[in-house]
Amino acid sequence: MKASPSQWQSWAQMMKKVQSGDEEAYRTLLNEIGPLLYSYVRRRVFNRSMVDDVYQEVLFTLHRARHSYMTDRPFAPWLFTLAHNSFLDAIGRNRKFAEREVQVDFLPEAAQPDTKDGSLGDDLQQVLAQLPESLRRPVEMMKLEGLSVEEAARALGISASALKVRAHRGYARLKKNLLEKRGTK
Amino acid sequence: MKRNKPRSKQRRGMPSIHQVMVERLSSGLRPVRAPYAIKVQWLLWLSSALVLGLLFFTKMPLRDDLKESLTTPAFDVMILFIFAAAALSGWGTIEASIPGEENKGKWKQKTAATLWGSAALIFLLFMPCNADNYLEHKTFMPCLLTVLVIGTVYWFLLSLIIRRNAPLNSRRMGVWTGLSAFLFGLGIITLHCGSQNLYHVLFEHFLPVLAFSWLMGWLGARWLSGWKRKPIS
Repeated sequence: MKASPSQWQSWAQMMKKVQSGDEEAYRTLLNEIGPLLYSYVRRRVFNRSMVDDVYQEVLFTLHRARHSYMTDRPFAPWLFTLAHNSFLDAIGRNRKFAEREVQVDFLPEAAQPDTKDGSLGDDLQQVLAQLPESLRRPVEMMKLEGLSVEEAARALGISASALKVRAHRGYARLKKNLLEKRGTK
Repeated sequence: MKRNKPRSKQRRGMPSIHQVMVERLSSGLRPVRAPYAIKVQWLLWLSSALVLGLLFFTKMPLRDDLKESLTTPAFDVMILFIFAAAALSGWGTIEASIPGEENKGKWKQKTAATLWGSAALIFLLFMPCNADNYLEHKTFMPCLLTVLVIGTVYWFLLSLIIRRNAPLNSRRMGVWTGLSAFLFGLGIITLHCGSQNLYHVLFEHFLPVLAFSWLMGWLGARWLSGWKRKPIS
C-alpha cells in the first residue's frame, strides 16, 4: 500500500492540528494512516496472533511521540521510524516474555467422559465386553477404576510386569476390535 | 424514522482493535508543544554550556600558564578541536533525538570522535609532555573526578533538552549525550589543569571522555526512554 505525495502533505498538515489538540483531525489521520501502518506491521510480523498487539503498540508509540513531529520536516520518515522502532520494541518484549515461559513436553492428561452422561460409549463397552477376562480386567482396573499398577497386580494376584503385559495386549486388542467395528458401520 | 449514522464504522481490512484505538486515543486529546527547531535547541545547548563553564571557572582557577599556552599554535588547535567536537557532538545528539532524523547525527558523532583523537595526538606529538611517575603526581585523581562531575552536570543539561524530542534508541543517545558533555568537561579541565604529565593527561583528561560516555549509556537507557512509559490519558 502506497500513499501519494499529496496525501503525505495533507497528513503533515493534519499532524499540526493534532499537536494543537484537534480530536477530529486526529481521528481522520489515524483512520487514514491506519491501513498503511497495519500493512507495515503485517508484512513484518509472521506470527498472526501477534499482529494486532504490535499494531496497537505502534499506535500507542505514535500517540506518545506526537509532540516530536517537526512540522517543517517530512512526515513519512518520522512515522515509519516510530513504527519500526515500536515494532522492534514489541518483538523484543515478546521474545523476553517467551524466554520466561516454561515449555512442557506433554500436556497433563485430563479425564474426560466419553459421552455426555459420563458412561463409556456403546461401541467401546461392547468391544471391552468381548475381551477375554485375563485382558479385560487389567484394562478395567487401570483405566476405569483408576488403580495403580501395584494395586491392580495385587488384586489379581499376579506380578506387576505380568499385569503390564496383559494390559498392553488388552489395549492393542481393544483398539483393533474398535477399529474393525467402526469400519463395518 | 431516520437513523443516526454511527460515528465510527469498521474499516475494511482493518482489525476491530483499530476503531477501539482510534476512539481511545482521539477522545480528550490534549494539545502538545512541537519541538523547537534543531538549530534553536543547539544554540540553547551551547549558550547553557557557556554559562555553566563560566560558573565552573568561578569555583576553579584557570591554569597558571594559560597565557603562554595560548601563544602555542598546537595548544590553540587542541583546545579548538576539543570544543568543536563538543559542540558538533551536541548538534548530532539533538538532531538524532528526533524520530526520523537519527542517521543525520551519525557523521557528526564520528567527526567529534575524530577531533577528540586528533586533540589527543596533538598533545602527544606537539605539546611538551613528560612521562614522570604518574602515581607521585600531585593532582592524582582530582582531575578524573572533576571531569566526571562537570561532565555529569553537562550530561543532565543536554539530556533535559533532548528528552523532549522522543529519542528512540535511548542507550545510544545516552552515549552520544555523554560524548558531548564529557568533551566539554575535557575542555574545561584542559583550561584548568596545566599538567604536562603524559599519563595524567591521558588517563584523567582524555580517556575518561570515552569511559564515562559509555557509562552514560546505562543511565540514558532509563532516563531518556521515559516518554515511552508515559501513561495514555
